[in-house]
Amino acid sequence: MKKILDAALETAALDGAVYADARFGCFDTQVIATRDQMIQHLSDSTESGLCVRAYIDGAWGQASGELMNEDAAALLGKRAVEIARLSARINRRHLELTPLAAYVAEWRPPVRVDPFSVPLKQKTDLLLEINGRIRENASVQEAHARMHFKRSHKLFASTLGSFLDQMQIWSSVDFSAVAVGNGRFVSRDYQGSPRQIGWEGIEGQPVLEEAPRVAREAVEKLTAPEPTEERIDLILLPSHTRLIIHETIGHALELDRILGWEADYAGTSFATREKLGTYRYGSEIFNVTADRTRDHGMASCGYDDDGVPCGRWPMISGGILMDYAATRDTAPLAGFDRSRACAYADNWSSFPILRMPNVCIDPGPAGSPSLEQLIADTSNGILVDGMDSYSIDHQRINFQFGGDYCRRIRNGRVEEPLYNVTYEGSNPSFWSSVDAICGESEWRPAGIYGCAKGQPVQITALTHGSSPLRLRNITLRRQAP
Amino acid sequence: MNFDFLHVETMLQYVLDQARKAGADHAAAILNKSFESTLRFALNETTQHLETCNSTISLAVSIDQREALVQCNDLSPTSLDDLAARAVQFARLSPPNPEFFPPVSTPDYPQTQTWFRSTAELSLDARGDAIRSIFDLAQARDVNLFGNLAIEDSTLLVANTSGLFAHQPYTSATLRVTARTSESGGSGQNASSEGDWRLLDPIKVAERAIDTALMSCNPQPGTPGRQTVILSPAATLEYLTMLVFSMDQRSAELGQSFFSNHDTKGTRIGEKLFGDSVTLRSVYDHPNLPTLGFGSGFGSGGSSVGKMFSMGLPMTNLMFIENGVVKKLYESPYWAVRNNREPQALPLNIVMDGTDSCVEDIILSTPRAVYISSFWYLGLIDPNSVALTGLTRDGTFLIEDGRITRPLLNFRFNDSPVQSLNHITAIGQAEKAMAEFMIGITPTLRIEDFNLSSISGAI
Repeated sequence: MKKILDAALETAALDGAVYADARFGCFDTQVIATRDQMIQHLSDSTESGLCVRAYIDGAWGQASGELMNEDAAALLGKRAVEIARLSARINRRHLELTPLAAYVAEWRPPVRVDPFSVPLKQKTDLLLEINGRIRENASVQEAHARMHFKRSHKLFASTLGSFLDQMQIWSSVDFSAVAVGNGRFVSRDYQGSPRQIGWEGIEGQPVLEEAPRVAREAVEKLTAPEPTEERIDLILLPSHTRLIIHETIGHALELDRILGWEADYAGTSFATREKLGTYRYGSEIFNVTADRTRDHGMASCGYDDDGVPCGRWPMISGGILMDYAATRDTAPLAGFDRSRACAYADNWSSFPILRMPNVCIDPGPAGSPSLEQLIADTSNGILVDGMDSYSIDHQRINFQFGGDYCRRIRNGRVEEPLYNVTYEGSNPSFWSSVDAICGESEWRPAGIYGCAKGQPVQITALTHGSSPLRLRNITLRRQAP
Repeated sequence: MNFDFLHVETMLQYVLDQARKAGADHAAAILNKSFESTLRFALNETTQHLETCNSTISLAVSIDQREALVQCNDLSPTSLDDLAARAVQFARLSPPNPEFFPPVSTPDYPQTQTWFRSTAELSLDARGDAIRSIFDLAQARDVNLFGNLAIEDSTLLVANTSGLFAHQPYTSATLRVTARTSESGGSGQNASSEGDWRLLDPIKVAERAIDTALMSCNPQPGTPGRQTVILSPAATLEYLTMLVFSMDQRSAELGQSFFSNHDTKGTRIGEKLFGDSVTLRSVYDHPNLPTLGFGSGFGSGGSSVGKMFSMGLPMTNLMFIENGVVKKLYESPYWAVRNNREPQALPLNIVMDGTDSCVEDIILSTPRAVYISSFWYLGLIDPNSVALTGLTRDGTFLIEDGRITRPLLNFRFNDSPVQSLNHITAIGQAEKAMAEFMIGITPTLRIEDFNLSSISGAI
């Protein structure tokens, strides 16, 4: 394969590329979806191909194809150069790239059992058993359970002399119970945290034990009252914070949005360059860290798709905005001389774009309250578990989110479930209202599998994490039109 | 796309034969051969420019109603042998599907023109010239453009063990443009998608976005609350998307939909749920928006293999809502046959009937309203009522005494199209529009009592 990549690079360089990289990618995906005792969907897909990216006169060109031989690679190298030259002719300004050394390395995730090696029957049996456990609750109308496995193998070579061999493996299981009654229909989800892990990550989750709880909570939602429109304290569990970290911090701190590159589709950001180092994003106890090296992190790997080594860095410290996610071509436009290794291509043919790293809220320091203490200290609040509806404006300021299973807190006690809880907030006042974050023992990672961005749309996976935390005086929305 | 159909038909037949030899009772193979190019731009500069060629083959098989679906993009004989063996191996390990739907037989599907040489043979230089021309326009008018030009030239081919061989090439040229002023917060967006490149006018697309951007400079906060709004055709389509997605027959029958009648335990087909002026249909042979002549069923019930076995169903024009009365919901092929109905292909466009009124006439007759050019990030809050939230974007204006008086900051809304389609007081001409997940032909709508719940400062 190295010969094929080299053939592409040699042609690109010969035709005038100042820099070029060639990427072979092979992507395996297996999805099994069940409803009750039926397999609704069982698919197994393998796709591979070669992608060549050339950089000339400050512009990119990329060509990709599924044919895998030296002649085809050379043609792609030639075409990538033609495309880059055309782009350069259109542009008035040259894109600069941050400096980069050559690396030769291999990276593999901490996976014990490749999920693709596990017999299919073992997977379907588990899914059908989950559904069976859910349907033991006679008030549940339908049970759905699903597994998703993906393996990406990328070989990257560049004209700098890099050769990188990397594999990522993701595994997830989730399920839901659907109930109908009282003039409404509801669902309650087990949003199992997907991770870069093998089959051991599926076996390690107490799915059979959790299924009856999920079923019971679905049924509870049928008769749960809707909250009134009011201002109230929220205690958010990590199963929910992943949604708001993702939308209000992760996307807001992507440098390509800040530069305006995503203005047509994914949107821009309020967290502009001049705010770095001074802007209060959250309360003083609020710290956020980006990390593409965390074990089992969905976005973790050794090197990004620009060939830059991945790392860990603070984004928000003591509530102050400190840094962004960046790539080789976005960093110079903001005056940075280093990339943050956030280039990612979701498929062999995709153009590497800036994608969110794993972004997590740091746990509170030693002596922080436990969740139990936090609840006991809350007189009028809502405990929010899981993700439901979400919507945020295109600068990541005004947002509205919903929880999957929410319960009223009165005088320090968790009481009845509520239906259709959505709350509204805005940056930065929302995160400035965080007054307590639980400690490290209650910190949990929570993965996101399907973050969409780019044109054509690319899907990425990443991890958010936090301890339970409390926000004061948040606006609840009543949704009944 | 230059294509040896004989070769491809032979290849698909080979895969089906291999699946049969391995033990499959039924099989269907779909080949999608595509060329795609994308040129993305921001701040009047290209940021990405790429081309991709790919051929993907999907194979669905069943053995005693045990099913599997496999896919690859290596079309070598060895790979195809492996694909067939893998499909059968997986199917044998699956429990039988009680909601089985067999492959459709050779259909007599309608012919529509969806492939155009002008798009398929568009050169790299021509793509560059188009983008250069709109950059020049933007610079002359002191705005920045963001967006992308996407070209596709693909062919879809389907074969199954019931004797079907269907194929259709299609092309598309899509230009999305957001124009923004450097200062003063002006923003406008416009998009156009045509099968025939000759019908796509990049300057016209960009001009409309630029005009809106320049009109929307220095937006001021409006007043949140329930009020009259006028939706552009693009905003109308975006707003209707979730409603259309919720029109699933099986979900309605099981009580899992707004279209469920919880009293009768049936659906609300036949009920007048919307205003008299609301007629919603799909028109596969619409002259401005032709779609493929065949497709597959869609909806809850059955399996994904059953849906793939239904690929090849002829497209038909469907009436979903007529004068406010629900006429039809879409359904999976399995669910249709189970209930003694003909399975139908999923419509690929949506058309809401309009009138002869132009948007200027509607504005002229409006004492006070908020004009909404685009919606952004719509989220479904409650599927029981199709309650949505979302934001306005790229041109929100105050209308007073029959004219646009000033640009407004964006709003968040919380409302439901179910309610809004009962509060329509004016409908304009229907025109081609693009939403995030749908393409269609929709009119300008004036809606009373629309809940603009808060202000967003996002530009």
